[in-house]
Formats: sequence, structure tokens, C-alpha cells
Amino acid sequence: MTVGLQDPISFWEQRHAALDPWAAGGDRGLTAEENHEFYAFRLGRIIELIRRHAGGERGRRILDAGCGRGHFTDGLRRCGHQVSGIDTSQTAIAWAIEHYGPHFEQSSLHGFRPRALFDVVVCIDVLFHVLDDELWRASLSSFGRAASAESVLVVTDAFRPRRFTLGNYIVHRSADEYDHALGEMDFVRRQLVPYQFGSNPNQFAAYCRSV
Amino acid sequence: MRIADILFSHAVPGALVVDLTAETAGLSSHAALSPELGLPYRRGLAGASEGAALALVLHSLPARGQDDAPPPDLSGLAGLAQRVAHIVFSDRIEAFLELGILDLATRAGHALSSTHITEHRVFRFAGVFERPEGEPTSSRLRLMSEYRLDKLALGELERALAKATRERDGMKASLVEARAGRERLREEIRGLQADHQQLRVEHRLLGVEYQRMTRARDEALGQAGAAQDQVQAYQARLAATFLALERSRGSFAFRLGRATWAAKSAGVNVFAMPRRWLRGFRGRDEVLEKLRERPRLGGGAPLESPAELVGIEKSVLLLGLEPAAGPGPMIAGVVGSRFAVELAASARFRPLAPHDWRHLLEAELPAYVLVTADGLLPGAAWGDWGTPGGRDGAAMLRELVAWCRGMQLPIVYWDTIGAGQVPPGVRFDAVFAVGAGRAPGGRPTVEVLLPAVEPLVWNPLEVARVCPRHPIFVGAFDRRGDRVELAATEALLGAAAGRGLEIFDVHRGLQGPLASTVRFPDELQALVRRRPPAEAERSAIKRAGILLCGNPSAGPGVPSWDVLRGLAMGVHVVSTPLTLDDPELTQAIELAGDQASAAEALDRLAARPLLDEVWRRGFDRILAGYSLRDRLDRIAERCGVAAVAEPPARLAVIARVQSAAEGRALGGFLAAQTVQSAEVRVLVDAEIEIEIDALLGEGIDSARVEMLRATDPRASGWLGDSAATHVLCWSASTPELADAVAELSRAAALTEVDVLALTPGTGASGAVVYGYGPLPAEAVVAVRRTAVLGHLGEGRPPEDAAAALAAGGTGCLIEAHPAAGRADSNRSVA
Repeated sequence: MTVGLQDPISFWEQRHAALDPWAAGGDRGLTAEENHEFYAFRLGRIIELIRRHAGGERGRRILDAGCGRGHFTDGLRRCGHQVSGIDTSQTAIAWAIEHYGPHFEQSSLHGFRPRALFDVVVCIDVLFHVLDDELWRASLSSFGRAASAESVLVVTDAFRPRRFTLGNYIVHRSADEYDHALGEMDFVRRQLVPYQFGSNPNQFAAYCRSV
Repeated sequence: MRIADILFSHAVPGALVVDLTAETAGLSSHAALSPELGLPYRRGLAGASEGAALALVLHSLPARGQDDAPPPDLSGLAGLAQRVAHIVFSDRIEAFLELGILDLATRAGHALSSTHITEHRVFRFAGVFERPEGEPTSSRLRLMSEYRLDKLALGELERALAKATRERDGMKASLVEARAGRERLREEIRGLQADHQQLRVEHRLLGVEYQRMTRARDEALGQAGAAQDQVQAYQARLAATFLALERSRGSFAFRLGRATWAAKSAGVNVFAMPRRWLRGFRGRDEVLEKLRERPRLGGGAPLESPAELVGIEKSVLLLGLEPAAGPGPMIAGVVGSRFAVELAASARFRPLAPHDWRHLLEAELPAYVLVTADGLLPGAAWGDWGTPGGRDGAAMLRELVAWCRGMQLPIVYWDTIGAGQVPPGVRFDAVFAVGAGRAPGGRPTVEVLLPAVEPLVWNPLEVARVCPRHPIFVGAFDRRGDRVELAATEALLGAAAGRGLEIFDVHRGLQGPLASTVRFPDELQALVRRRPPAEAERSAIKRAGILLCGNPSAGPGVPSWDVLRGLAMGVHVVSTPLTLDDPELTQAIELAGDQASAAEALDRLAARPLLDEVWRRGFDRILAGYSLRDRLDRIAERCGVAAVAEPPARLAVIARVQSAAEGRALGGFLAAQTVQSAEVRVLVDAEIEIEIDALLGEGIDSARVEMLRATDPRASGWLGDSAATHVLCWSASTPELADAVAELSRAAALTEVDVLALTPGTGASGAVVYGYGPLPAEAVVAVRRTAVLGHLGEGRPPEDAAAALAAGGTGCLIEAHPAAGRADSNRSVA
């Protein structure tokens, strides 16, 4: 049975339960080795963006929103940051806690209740899976609540001039939609970095909030 | 801080308090106090004046577990007053973030202007949101709010840290106090344990005293009963006598005579005589009246009290009792008189008799009580199971065992004669037998304990080494035993009869039906003697030089007591055939199964020297494997008590080497020794280059040689720190006597005197001379370690006799014999 559009949470539960740890949150069209490389590639880009916009200090408080199996969370922790990961999938969170430690929490993006403020919020290849615009907006608001006054938000999407849909579980929203929604929370887009990994059309966008 | 004070601190004249907190929060009662401060209070928005200068709007965030409640509205009350300040109460700081209050306030153009810690039990935190002066950007508003909130969180963390620090310090203090308390408790426990131990000792002593008093009371009651019976008998006899006397003196004839005698004795008076006669006839009998007035028998001096009786008895029984020699644990036992002497040489031993065992055991509790089969033989104090009219020996033995078990005193039985049975009705803690084949009753708990000898009693000292020799037989001719063995014994005695045989009959003088059973054959009767006392018997055997043994084995592969004792005395032993597991012992004795072989063996032994190499090997085997001290310690181990036997004699060689030549000489001396039983300690002067290997002889175990430099801090007193009982102090003048250490070790095991010398010619030194062993014509002298402790404590052995004498101490050295061409400069000093 194909769920997805109607019930994204169940869709991701099934996907994390069925696929291997690297393909579940990666690209199903890639092999395990290619997915591993894909994660490493994106992690490098994330680190580069954090260093550029949040500074090179260690010990930044980072929220990995939609962390999946927690590969980015663990990678950033190894770089010396204080990283917390959240995801809607209980299966993925249980796997992450078992393999990477107790730094994970099961929560939806829009319902996340932070107990502290974060210097950096990263949300990698998640938001275009949020099909409902209200939930998408609520998720961004949640990021805004969790981010401190001097913070960086790293999100990925196609950032095309117009939104477009792929299949029944991907909605690529336009750059203007992102700019407008985040601009209400004082986030300003500073940089766009295309993936340049195979034919993947997505880009990293770094939004900064500052006084 | 009180909630009313928070309101007052933010109020201005004309301010209004609007309470929008949840009903269940319990904040309204605090906020309602604001009118006392001049601030109008309104619960809810109804009735709120819109013309107020300031509206202080109170909100409460949902408490933990009430996440469904909506966040407060911070943006919709702008028209309530000219200026609106929102005071938000929360039970935790994180709630401001979880519910996005900062974000809401930023969007409403408010910033967190101040934070407070309230006195409320649940809503401990309060944040005041109001529009700041000017028109700050939303980012600046957010930053201001975060700054205030972080400051509040930091303060809270610092308070929590301070509280944790205080608690930690308190815990540390408690821990220190607890440790001190634990130490006090340990000290108390140690004290209580000491008290407990003391109480156990007292309890044991009281148990002994109680048993003694109980026994004394029983005996006193018995004696009192007997005395009472006697008194009653006397009283009955007295009453009968008095009755007879009264009857006779009250008879008519007696009164008539008494009246007539009284009337006549008063003189002739015709008128008074009839009256006197009549008064004499009718009057009272003075003799009877006087007897009636005397106290009855039994009212005299009271009997002695039971305690006094027991004290008197004990003082009589223990009169002259001396403590067993030595400070160590004692053993007591029911043993034969000859075995008791041997045991007394091996350990602190107290023989028990049926009449005094309880007093002796109460006087000093031994480590264990040993009952041997020879101690229960007929003729012994416990034998015959008592004497006619006396105490029952079997009952006394049972009482002894019961008493020991009651006192938790181990009591064991050793079947030393291979009787194959245990006294009936007696339950010992352990039972031993001399051979596996002679286990008493075949009981599975019986353990094998082979025969053994004590070298202080059975030794070759003063054995006659000159011919002619003649055989001696000590034992019985018991026809109840094995017929083959009896025939072999008869053949052995028959062969020896023409060679000066003496027979010491252990049953000589026995009367009754058993006498004929144990009587020697008629042709030997002329040679039979009564068995002499133990010391005389040993002297006679040593003079004779040949000992005949019949019935030699106590079991398959087990040597008999007689064989071991004969070998230990250094005489030739001829035995009836037996099988021994010990090859050294087998070679040291002669076996004869018939008269011809016995005669041949006796002729051969008559010319064979005593104390030869074959005997020496057998003797060494006896010292090593058949020591009575080992047997006693084995029993002690079985009883779970410490070793009881006296430690065996042990020799140590100590030397001080002051030059390389002396080192080589010491090496030569040690190389001449062929035993490894002695430890060697060498103190070497620091400037001499000598290795320990240069000192070793082939026969010396290197592990037993210790060497220290004189400059070593451990050297002080090191030479005197040996565990040996005897020491041989080597000096440069010591000759290289082969086996000197072995001979001295052997001699030390045979005597208790301090000074030993192995060859004649040492009379000038005052040393005791033991003339056996093939040593050359020099004297080797050793003394007990305690005797030279003064010298050894100074880290040096006595170097010469003159110095030792001058010091007034005792020493030991090698004495050169004049015949060997050495200067007589060294002497034994004791």
C-alpha cells in the first residue's frame, strides 16, 4: 500500500522500517555506498555553511530537525557541537538512540517544544516532504521559536522560482515562499549552495537572524 | 519575592491589575492583594477600564503536564490601557521557550523587561513583558528577551549549583561523621569482641567451676546422706539402750534395792527411814533424768561443707603437682606408663589416672586427650576395668569421654597394639590404628597412624660397641596369637638360647587361668626374667647389642614398635619374617623364619659392628618418617587444634668471612657436608669480592644459603635471626669434617643438652661427649641458638674462645684435637 500524501508519518515509519539505515533517509535510487557518500557530501556542505555563517567556534547548540537515523546529528557531534535531533519516526529515533546515544527526541517539526534556544537549526531534505502548507509554515515557525536571536537556519529545497511537485510525496516550494515565511521571523537568506551531486536538483539555503 | 511586590514594582499611579491567570493556578489570591497597594484588581477582562495609565495583565503558563492549554495572548490587549505590561507566571523557565512566549512577545512588539523569583509554591518564575522605549527591531526585542531569560536561567542554575554545593558539603560532613561513627563502632565492636572473648573464657571457667561444684555437691550429698543414715542408726541404738536402761532401772527389784540402799546410807533413824525408803522407792531416778536432759546425738559440730570437702580432696590429689614443662599447648592422656615417658619427651604431656583426671583437666585444659590401647591393658591404672571394691574403670572412661565432649575438648583413641577394637560404649572424636589391617572393628572412620619413636628416649647413646654380644627378647609368648608367627618366634628363641639369650617376660608373675597361656616353653624358663624398669631395660638392650623381635608387624607393611625402638637404639635387630614397605628399614634388620637361619643371623651379627652405614640409613629413615612428634601433630591437625609437639632439633651454620681465604675455607667446609638439612648464613665483609657460588659445596642446597654484606643495614642481628634450635658457628680454624652438620643434627635430635661434641677428647671443654659416628679426631661443638644469642645479636659469631670467655658468654667453635697437629687454642665454651 502506498501511503504518503495522505499520511506522511506512516509513510516514513514504513520507510525507516523497510530500508537500510543509509537508504531510509537517503535516496532510494542510490546504492548503499552511494548513499553513504551522499551523506558525507552533504555533511561537508553543512559544516562549511555553519562555519561561514555561525563562526568556527566549537560547542554550538545545533538542532537537527528531521534527523532520521541521526547520521548528520552524529557527524556534527563529532565536530564538537552540542547537537539534538528530532524526527517524527519512532523507528528512526529508536535506531539513532541505540547507535548514537541519547541525544534524540521523537517529535514532529511543527509540534517541537524547545527547552533551550539553538544557535543553528539544520533541516536537510525534509521540508519538501511536508506536503501541507500549513504544517510547512508551522514547522518554519517552530524553527523560529527554537532559534536564538543570533542564529543560522540551514534548509534544503530546490529553491526554484516556482513551486513544483514530484510524485505524491514531494513539493518543492519556491525561494520566495521560503524567504517570505522566514522573513516574518527575521531570517534573511544569505547564501544558496546547489548540491551538484548527480542529478539532484536541491540546494542548501543559509538563513541568518541577527540584530 | 511576593507577587504583590512584583506588581507594585511595575505600577504607576492609575495602574490597573487585570488577572487572566488560570483558575487552577492559585495565583489570584496573591494578586488580589494588590488593592492594599492602591492598585485596582480585576479578575478577567470584564469591567476593565480602558482609560488606565497602565494595565498589568497577569498570565499563567500551563504547568507541566497541562500542555494542551493555549499560550497567553500578548498582542490583543493593546487597547486596554495607555500602556500594557504582561506579567507571565510559570512553574519552570523552559516553559517560556516551549510555548514560544518569547516569539509571541516579539511579534507583539514586547520584550522581556524583567524576571522574578516568586514566593508561589508552583509558579516560581515571573517574566514581565512590555513594550520598550523607542522602536526597536524585532531582532533586538528577541535579543533583549533572550538576554533576560538567559539571565534568569543562569541565576537559577547558580542557585541550584549553590544548593548542590551545600548539599555536597553537607554530605561530605555527614560522610566524615559517618566514617568517624563507623570507626567508633568498629572500636566498640573490637571492645565487644574482646569482652566476648573474655566472657567466653569466663564462661568456660564457670563451666569448669560449675561441673566441679556439681560434682562436689553430689559427693557431699552422698556423704551427708551416709552420715545421716549413720546418725539415725546411732540414735536408734541409743534409744533402744535408753529404753532398756529405763526398763531395768524402773523394775520393782531395782527400785526396792535402791530405796533400801538409800535409806540405809542416810544413817539409822527409825522415824526417817521409812519416809526415806518410800521416797527412794517412789522418787525419780536421777540417772535417767540426767540422761533425759542430755542433748541427743547429732547436735554436735556440723559436717564440713561440700566446697570444703572438694577443696580438701583436691588439695590432697593435686599435692605436689607441677605444671608440664614448656609454655606450649599440652596434651593429656590415658596411656601406658612407658609410653607416657615417651610422650612426655615429645610434648607437654600429662598422664591421667581414674581418680585424678577431672582435677588435672580442670587445673589446665589440654589441646586434646589421647587414649591409647596400651593404656587400657590389664595391669594399667585404667585396665581390668576397675579393681574389686574400687571405681569401675570402664565407667570412669565413659565419664571422661562424656566430660570432654561436654567441654568440647577433643578426645581421640589410638589403637597402638593392633587390638582391633574400641572400648565399648565410648564415642571418641577420632579413632586411629597402627595399621590398616588392624583397624578397630573395621570402622570406616578409623585412620591409620603408624608406630613411631621419640629419639630423646630411644637413641644410640651409650650403646656398647664392643663384643661379645648376646640377644635379648622382650615380649610375651602368647599362644592365642597366630600359630605360624608363634612357631617362628619359638625357633628364633631356640636358636638364641645357646648364645646367651635373656628373656624379659612382660607377663612374668601373672596369676590365674591366663598364666599358662602366656608361659614360655619349659626349656626356656631358665632364661626368663621379670621385665625390668624402662630405663634399665634400655640399658640392658644396649649392653647386649642384639634385640629379638617376635610378632613384629602391626599390619601389612607396617613396622612394629619393637623393631623401630631397637633400630633407634643402635642395636642389631633380628625379627621373625615380615614384609615392610620401607627398604631402608628392611635392610637394617635381619629376618629369620626358622632356627637355622636364626642361628646364622645371630652368628653374623655377633661380629658385625654397630652403628654402621646400613644402620645409619635406617636410623635417618626413622628420624624422618617415624617421629612420634609428627604423630602427635597429626592427631592435633585431625582435632583442629594447633601443633602440640615440641619442635624438632634443627641446626644452622653461621659464619663471618673476613677474607677471601676464609671464604674458600668455608666453601671447603660446606662442600664436605653431604646433607641439606641445615640453613647457612654467611656475613661477608664489604671489601671482599666473593660470590655465593664460591661458597657452595655440591651437597648444599643453594636455596638454604643466605649471604649479606656487613654494610647491609639488615646485617644487624641477622645472624641471630635463625629459626634453628642449634647453631654451628664456623670460624677459620674449623676443620673440614665430613658430615659434621649431619652428625650434629642427629645428635641434637637425641639430647636436650646445650653442648654437643661428637668425638672423645673434649672433656676439657666441659662438653657432653657422644661417642658414636665415624668422625675424625677433632671435636665439633654446637650449642643451642638461645645460648649464643648475645653474640649473634651483635651480628657476629664468637671468633675465638678467649674472647667468648672474656665476654662471659657462651660460644661454640671447632676444637682441634692435639693428635691432629693443631694448636689447642680453641675450646668449647658453654
